[in-house]
Amino acid sequence: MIRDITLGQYYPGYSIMHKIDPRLKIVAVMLYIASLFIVKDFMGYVVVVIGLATVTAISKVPLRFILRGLKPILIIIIFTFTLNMLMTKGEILWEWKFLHITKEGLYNAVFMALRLVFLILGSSLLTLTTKPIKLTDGIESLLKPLKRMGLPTHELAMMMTIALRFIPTLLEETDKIMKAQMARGADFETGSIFRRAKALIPILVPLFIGAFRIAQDLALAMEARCYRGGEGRTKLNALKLKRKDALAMVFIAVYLGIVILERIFLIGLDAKIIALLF
Amino acid sequence: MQHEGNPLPKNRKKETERLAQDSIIQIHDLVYTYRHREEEINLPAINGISLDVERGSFTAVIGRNGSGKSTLAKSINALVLPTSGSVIVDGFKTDEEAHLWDVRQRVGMVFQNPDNQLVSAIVEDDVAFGPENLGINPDEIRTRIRIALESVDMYEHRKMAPHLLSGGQKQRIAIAGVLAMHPDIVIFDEPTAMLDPGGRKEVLDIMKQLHEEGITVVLITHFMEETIHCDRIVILDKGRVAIEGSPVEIFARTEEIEALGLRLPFAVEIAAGLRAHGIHVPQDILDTDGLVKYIVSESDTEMKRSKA
Amino acid sequence: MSITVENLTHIYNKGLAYETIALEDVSFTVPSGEFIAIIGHTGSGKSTLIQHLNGILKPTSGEISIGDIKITDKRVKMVDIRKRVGLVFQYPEYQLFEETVYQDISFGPKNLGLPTEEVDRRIRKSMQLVGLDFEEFAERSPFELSGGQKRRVAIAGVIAMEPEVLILDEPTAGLDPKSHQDILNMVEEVHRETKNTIVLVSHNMNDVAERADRVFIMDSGKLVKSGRPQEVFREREFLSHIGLGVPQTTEVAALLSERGFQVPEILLRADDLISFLAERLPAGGV
Repeated sequence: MIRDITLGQYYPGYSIMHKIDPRLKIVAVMLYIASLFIVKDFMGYVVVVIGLATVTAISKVPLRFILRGLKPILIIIIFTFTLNMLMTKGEILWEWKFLHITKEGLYNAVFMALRLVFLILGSSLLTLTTKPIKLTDGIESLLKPLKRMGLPTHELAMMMTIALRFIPTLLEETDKIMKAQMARGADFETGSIFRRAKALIPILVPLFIGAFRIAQDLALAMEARCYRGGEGRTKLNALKLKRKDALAMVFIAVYLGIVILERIFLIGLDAKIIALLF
Repeated sequence: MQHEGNPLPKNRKKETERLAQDSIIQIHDLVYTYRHREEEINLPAINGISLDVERGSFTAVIGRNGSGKSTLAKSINALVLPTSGSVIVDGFKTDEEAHLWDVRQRVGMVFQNPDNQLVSAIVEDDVAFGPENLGINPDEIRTRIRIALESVDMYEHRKMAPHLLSGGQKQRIAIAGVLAMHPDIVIFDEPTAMLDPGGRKEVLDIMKQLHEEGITVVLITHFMEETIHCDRIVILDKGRVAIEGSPVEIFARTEEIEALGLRLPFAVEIAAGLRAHGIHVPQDILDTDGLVKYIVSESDTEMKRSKA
Repeated sequence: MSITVENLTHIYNKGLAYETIALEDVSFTVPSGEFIAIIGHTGSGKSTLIQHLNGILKPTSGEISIGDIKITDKRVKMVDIRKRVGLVFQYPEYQLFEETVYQDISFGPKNLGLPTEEVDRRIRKSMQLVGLDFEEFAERSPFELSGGQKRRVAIAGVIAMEPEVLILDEPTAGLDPKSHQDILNMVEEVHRETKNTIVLVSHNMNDVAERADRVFIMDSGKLVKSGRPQEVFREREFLSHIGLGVPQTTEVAALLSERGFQVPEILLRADDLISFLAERLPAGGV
């Protein structure tokens, strides 16, 4: 049942991608997303595809695993595509009542849809090759400078750690409660929306009580193990940049450089090529 | 603890401050009351307990639910502070703010629910949690993780996620997490209540092993069967000590134990039943092995006697 | 009501890389009114099995009938299964959610679509069966009760549906010895009064030996042995091979026989062992 949902889609592996410092990967993804907005034409996408393909190959994550990440946002992609196609003014290719498709609209639609696809593919590579716990460490470390501004970075990271630890436990708990209430004749699948919402009470009440029980037990256990906040605490896995991280930095710098150069010198080339073809 | 390379800083306080060298835990007239929210009354969970626990001993505290045994356990770790009376751990009073962390470092606790006491989604990170809190350097933590996980036989599972382990294995991780803090005392608060027979045995074996290694073990339980090999049993009822003594002394008082809603170990129950039939079974028979040996030798003598 | 299970197989995540066979070709029949116990260690498939018996899980293949209804048939309504089969999960007190004991117990009968008077009658009856005084407990919040009492409320919630087959998964887990005994006695009492079929899942051999008509042993998804307790617990070596023990009484008897003190029959109750030994040991002793 609910247990079948796989959360935080990490793909276990030992590739270089898996081993790169999580902070670097987070920053790299942010730069990559920025690069998608620097690119203004299809020529730029060629660079993006080459970059993405290289990184995917290095990560050794099967392509179908990565493509699976697109499924949940397929509707958004189609929506963006349709909207761009119908709403752009320009040279009309097809018309029906108030609907019209223009040449520019088609160009924009394909362009925007691809931007979304690349965005998802790139960022899902981050979660696919980084254990959630490493991701947490990375975020905590990157946020550290903000601690001076009063942001409780340690507490945030601890919350994320605990959440990751207890998501499977809570899912299991939900599954058990659902089954127990089903055995008592509860029906979650039929009736009006109002009825169905009401049918959730027998699940939500025990679930909340259970969550509070866990919180209480865990707080006690943490205190018993001398937890007193981030002050004076050491870390087993302190993050350190290594040689392969330097290589990764060079890679991302080169990639960004090419994207920018393409934007400056080759912009509009794709339009000329398209014009030549049609 | 004899883990190599990490001598404990035992000389932190003056010898004169130590009250009695041999009693690592001293409880004097302990009273703890909590406020009932709705009825606005104070309910005593512990109602005047005095108890000393010897260094390196194995003590079992037994009682029904609501007898105050869990509250007693928590008061030794300063998770609960006395309403009146005192609890002194290795010379430190638990209600002195300045020594709170000295107390907690010395007293490790293993709780009932194996799921709700593990903090991290990776086994070795969880074991590291305590030492990290103590500010120990990462290299030292790594050594401690290895030793602690090896001693509960879980080292090969160090990279796993706790929710994929069995109840007994999770409990062993929790024990490792406590051991990595180098405690003098480990308190087990009903550690087997939620485990199946296999898991129960795993945890009991580790408890015995820790005791042999010189750690002071306090076991809170409601299973008499688990207390046969203890040095001393303390039975609580309604927040007070009802009976205490060695297992042999305690199990001789069968009627009192049953009146307290507890169940005798199986061998003791059979021995008591035989005594009721006029057979004088010795009082020191506590486990199945002892019982079998006794019956066999007894019937042998009987056979020889009838032949003669 | 009888239970018939034929060639039941259940595979989790079928077709995926991590598919696991939870049940493999399990077949058995339980005649109406029998008290059976299912034994097996964690992961042996016993939880998966009982979840099939009231239709919460659907078999990958195989058929199950309760009385004359084939519950694996797609056309069967869930409510018809629930009327017949009651399932009490492990730690059932974690499913309590209503403001009062009365309301919580009413949840099941109401879901069956029964009229108010009938629901009321069933609540009173089930509370009496589990040993909760109506006047004292009906209007109290289930959350302020003790552990043992909460569990009684939860069990009453299933009993109030008046199932002819009552399945209990480890109903004594986590209780202290007194409550443990009380709950088992209560199950026996319900069995005696309502003449229903009982399926008790347990890993406590002693509890099972004293109460069950028949014992089913599960191991790695298969039903490996079944029979009267006397027959099943004779197989001490086989049981220990699959990681299970025998009742302590049987254990002592076996150890005695090994050492030359012959105990001819399989003894299941401590009292039987005591009277057997008392006849053969010299009074007075050493």
